[in-house]
Amino acid sequence: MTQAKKILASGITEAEAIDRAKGGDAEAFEMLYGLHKRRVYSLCLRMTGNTAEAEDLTQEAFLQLYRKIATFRGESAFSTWLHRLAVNVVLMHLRKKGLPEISLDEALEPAQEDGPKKDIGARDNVLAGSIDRVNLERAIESLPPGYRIIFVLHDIEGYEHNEIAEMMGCSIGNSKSQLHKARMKLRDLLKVSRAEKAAKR
Amino acid sequence: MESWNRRAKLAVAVLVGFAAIVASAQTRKEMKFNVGPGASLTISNDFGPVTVHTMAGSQVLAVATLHSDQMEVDQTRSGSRVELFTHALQQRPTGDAARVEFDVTVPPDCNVTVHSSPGPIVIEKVRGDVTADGENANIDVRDVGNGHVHLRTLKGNVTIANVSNGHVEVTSVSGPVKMSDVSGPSVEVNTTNGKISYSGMFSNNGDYVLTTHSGDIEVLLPANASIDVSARSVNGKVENDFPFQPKQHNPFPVTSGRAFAGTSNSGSSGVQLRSFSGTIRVKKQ
Amino acid sequence: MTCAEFQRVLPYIIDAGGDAGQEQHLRECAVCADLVADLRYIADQAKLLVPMEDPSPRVWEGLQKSLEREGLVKSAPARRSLLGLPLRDLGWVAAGAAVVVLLAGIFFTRNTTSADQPKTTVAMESPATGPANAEDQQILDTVAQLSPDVRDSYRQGLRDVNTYIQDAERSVKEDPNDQGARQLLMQAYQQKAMLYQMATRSGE
Repeated sequence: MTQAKKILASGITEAEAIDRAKGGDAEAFEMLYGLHKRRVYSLCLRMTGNTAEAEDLTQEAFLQLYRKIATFRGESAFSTWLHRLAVNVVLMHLRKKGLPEISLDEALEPAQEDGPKKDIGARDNVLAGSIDRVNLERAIESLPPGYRIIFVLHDIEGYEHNEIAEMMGCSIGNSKSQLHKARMKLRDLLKVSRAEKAAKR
Repeated sequence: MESWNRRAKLAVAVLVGFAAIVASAQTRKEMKFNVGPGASLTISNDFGPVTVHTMAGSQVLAVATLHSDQMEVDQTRSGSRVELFTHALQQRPTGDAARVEFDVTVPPDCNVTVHSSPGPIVIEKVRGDVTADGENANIDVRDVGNGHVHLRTLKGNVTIANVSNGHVEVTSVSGPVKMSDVSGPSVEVNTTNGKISYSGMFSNNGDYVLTTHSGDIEVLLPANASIDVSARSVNGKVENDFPFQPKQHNPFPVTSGRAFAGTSNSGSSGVQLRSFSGTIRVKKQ
Repeated sequence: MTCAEFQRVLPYIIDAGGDAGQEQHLRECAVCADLVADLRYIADQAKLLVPMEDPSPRVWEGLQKSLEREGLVKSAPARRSLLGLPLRDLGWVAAGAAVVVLLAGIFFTRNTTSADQPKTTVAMESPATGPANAEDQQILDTVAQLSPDVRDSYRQGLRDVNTYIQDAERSVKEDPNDQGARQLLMQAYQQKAMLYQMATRSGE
């Protein structure tokens, strides 16, 4: 059992661990890492779709956390603070990589291929009850990066559109529009996946 | 012409006589043991081949053919545990005189252990545990199920066919390992430079780990195989023509031509293919 | 309201709800109702995606190094082995090597020659991989009494396996956090252990 788990077992709270970490206590750092690593890593992985990048970004997010932990005053939950920090780390990384920012113009003139369906056509079978976790994760991974980021932030991580707009430097309308396109794309991917499965039977 | 006929007849007579002399030097030794369920048989024969097959019943029947009277087969028996050991009486004879061949029949649930340096070793239809090793022995194990299969060789050819529900472990330095329809909770093959070939479904929701230093790994996969596969060659190549679904979480960076990871169908079995400098090929059947 | 008009505003009303006309269209149009049901279902399923995996141990190891380098923590750096692995991680390597070391020890203590059988020493040829160590020479001495082709198999096998071990050790040294390299090293040690075990049996 590591020293950090002993601390946890003897009833040290997260708040106490944060205080100790502010004083440079290595075991407190390890405890905080252990408590939050999974969620931070999952966020990084879903947003980047790449294991190596996600690990690097997880490391960077925690490093920034430890650099800034002295400034944490408890105005929000620690996990919320850490989470927002991790999102910023990922977004900064993606911007450096040259991920195109969401354009205001897109909201005004949606691209034809992403536009609403004008053909009514016949009804499709609804998806309800037919999605499993593996297929959904796979489909999310296949999304274009811009759609994937919005979908992960809103539908998985629970950020509101106003928060996303602030983080991404776009309008709330843009955020809603991109989310809708992401969900439409996922709908198509999941229907194709379901049809392929049915064909194999 | 008459002298030629006489010479020919003399030559034939000499040959027949020689064959008779050789045949009479061979000794056939039969050993029978009545055993209970779950019996175990160990044969150590560094002087020739060992073949083991099964027959319903509760008897171990071992037939040893000794090619000279300079060799001996010892037997020890303790309950249902039988051990047969071949050795030279004095100095090890040379050539064929040292040769001893075993042909053994055991009950299907018998656990079988065979050591034979030169081999070949053939074991069929056993439902108990199978252990076989020989430095230069070709080892052939087929139609085995429900048991542990442990095979070791330095440079013999290992062939495993139709093994189901087994815990299979094969270690070979340079001998190739060829598997067809081998499935189990666990299949692990490790070579230094022996080629590893696998043809089959990787079924049974098992864990399959095929590792080599500089040998090649070749996998032939039917379309309905359900596997979660990762393949990596540190300094060699990885080739794949099977339409896997890409994985979200990979155990290592997926570098094109050096590694890939993916799933097919529901990814029931885990398959790891690892080489240091060999080529890994996955082909669709 | 047409489907096209409804679907144009759908991104902005799907979560909060629309006006009376939009809601009426949704009640009356099966196609748009199915679309909305699908999109909401996808969003609901996404909320259930819980984080499932931890990052590899290398993340914490890298973090530790950075924390120490920046003076953010007050602890001694991890001791490292000759292989460049943190000593606390060396356990698995020690387990694999223990088999090899144990069997090597057996060979050192056993008297492998008998009065009746002349001892033949088979020296390792100068291998491309480096000089043979004493343990390897003991193996070769043990199997020296066996047939020439078996002796050759051991000689060649030792050479090949030593190359395997050297390549695998080099890989681990280059990247101690590479789990794949560590697995290969473990397999290389098992190959060596097999050689010792088989030589032990054959030399009896």
